[in-house]
Amino acid sequence: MTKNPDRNGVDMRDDNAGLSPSLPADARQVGPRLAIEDRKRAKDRRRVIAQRTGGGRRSWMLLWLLIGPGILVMLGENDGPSMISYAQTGAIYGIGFFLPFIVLTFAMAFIVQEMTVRLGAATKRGHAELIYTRFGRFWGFFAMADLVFGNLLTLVTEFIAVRAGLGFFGVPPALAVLGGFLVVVAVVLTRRYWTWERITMAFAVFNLIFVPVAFMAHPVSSQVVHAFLTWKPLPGGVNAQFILLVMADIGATVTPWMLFFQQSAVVDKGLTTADIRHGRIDTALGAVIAAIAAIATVLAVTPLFTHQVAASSFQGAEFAQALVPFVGRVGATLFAIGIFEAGLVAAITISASSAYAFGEVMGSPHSLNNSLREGWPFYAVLVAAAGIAAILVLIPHAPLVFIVLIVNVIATLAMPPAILFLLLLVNDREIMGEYANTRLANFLGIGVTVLLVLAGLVFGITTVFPHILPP
Amino acid sequence: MIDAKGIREPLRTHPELAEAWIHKVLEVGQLSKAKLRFGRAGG
Repeated sequence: MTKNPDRNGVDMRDDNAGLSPSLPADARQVGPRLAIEDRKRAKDRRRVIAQRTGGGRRSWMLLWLLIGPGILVMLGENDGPSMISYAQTGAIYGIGFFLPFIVLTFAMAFIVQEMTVRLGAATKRGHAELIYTRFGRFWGFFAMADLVFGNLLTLVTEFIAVRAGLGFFGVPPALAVLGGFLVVVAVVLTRRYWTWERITMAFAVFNLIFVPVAFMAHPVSSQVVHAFLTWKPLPGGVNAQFILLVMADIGATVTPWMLFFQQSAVVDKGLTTADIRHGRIDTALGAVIAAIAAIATVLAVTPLFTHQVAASSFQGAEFAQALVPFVGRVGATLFAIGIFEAGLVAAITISASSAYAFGEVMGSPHSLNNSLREGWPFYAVLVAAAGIAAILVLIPHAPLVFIVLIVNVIATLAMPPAILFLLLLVNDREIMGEYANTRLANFLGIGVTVLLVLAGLVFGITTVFPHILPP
Repeated sequence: MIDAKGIREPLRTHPELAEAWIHKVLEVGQLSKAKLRFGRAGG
């Protein structure tokens, strides 16, 4: 793999790179003309700097200003299919092994995602752009195309969740999907990263709507504590179905879009190396909140396990309907809203990750701070990604079941190269300097990577060749 | 007395001077260099 310092032949270390030589000397020293995104980002950074120099009593405000990418990526990972998967897990296995297992998967996700924070803050470049810059044009385009295609299929599953969630309320599919798409577009049209981030976070907080539903299901507290302490019980024991589920859950812990999105968001938000600590807190906070929501979902459907309701093939709205006798109409309503929210937030973040990757590799403006005029390729890709996925969901007889199935396979196949690039980049001292991986970070990162890749491959292969596993 | 025209003229012909505060807030690597790809260097 070749390394290219800068694809435009411009020395990025030169502060005056790209300036017109006809400008007088004092103007040249100020720097190149700025884009609208620079002005907006500078306004955000000015607030951060003001808080940072304001003393200890403003530490909460500083944290408030700096959180965002980590929370969005973790709660975006609790997307429609994931929440349905947690519900299926709870319906099949009840309170037991999978409660502490969920905590473990989010710990693994934190280890991986933390590296993207350091990478973005240290290099000020998105993941796709770094791959292009450091490993060459082929790998840059490969990574981008791979991501955009995988994201498109994933977006289909998110709009399916939006449709399912709103379907509980009798909303026609076309209206539900159109509504979801319009929200994705409306949030982006704010043309302000900060506003887009805060609105999406406001939606994402509704991932915790499963918590009150969990309480309404009246899980036995002692069983919950016992499960966390002993990782038991495991109904049915270790069989093929269990192994498949564990492999699927591990393999889906981190998906490619998460790597690309968080790093791009860190860059667009304007985080620097001074913010790495807060970036870690942001990521950890996201992991904790997402884990709580996931555990709550498992607990919320345990009445289905207790009453042996055959729910392994249920989708979002079916779970909500099945829960009515146990958690009441209110609880079922909250559950359906949660499924809708999960699909919506993921649709917002995943479509953004496609647009970021496209712009980073193509060298076109790629920021949610851009005007429509300056950033039209970015916005066009974002809207197209969401729009095409929404249309696919509405096509009669579209092979949606096949798409849902293949999304996981593609994600597991795309994960090894994506995470390999991440490890190579985060260990590259030429770009990371003192922020490159420590030995501990490498030990944890490589360990998690091996686990993710192996589990993902096992899951992918057994999905394509289901007869490989013994009954 | 300050010659307002003398102040306005440089800002009008060189708006970069009015954006100097941005360069103090953002690091060089954070500036949007992507537009250089479209040959819009300096604007």
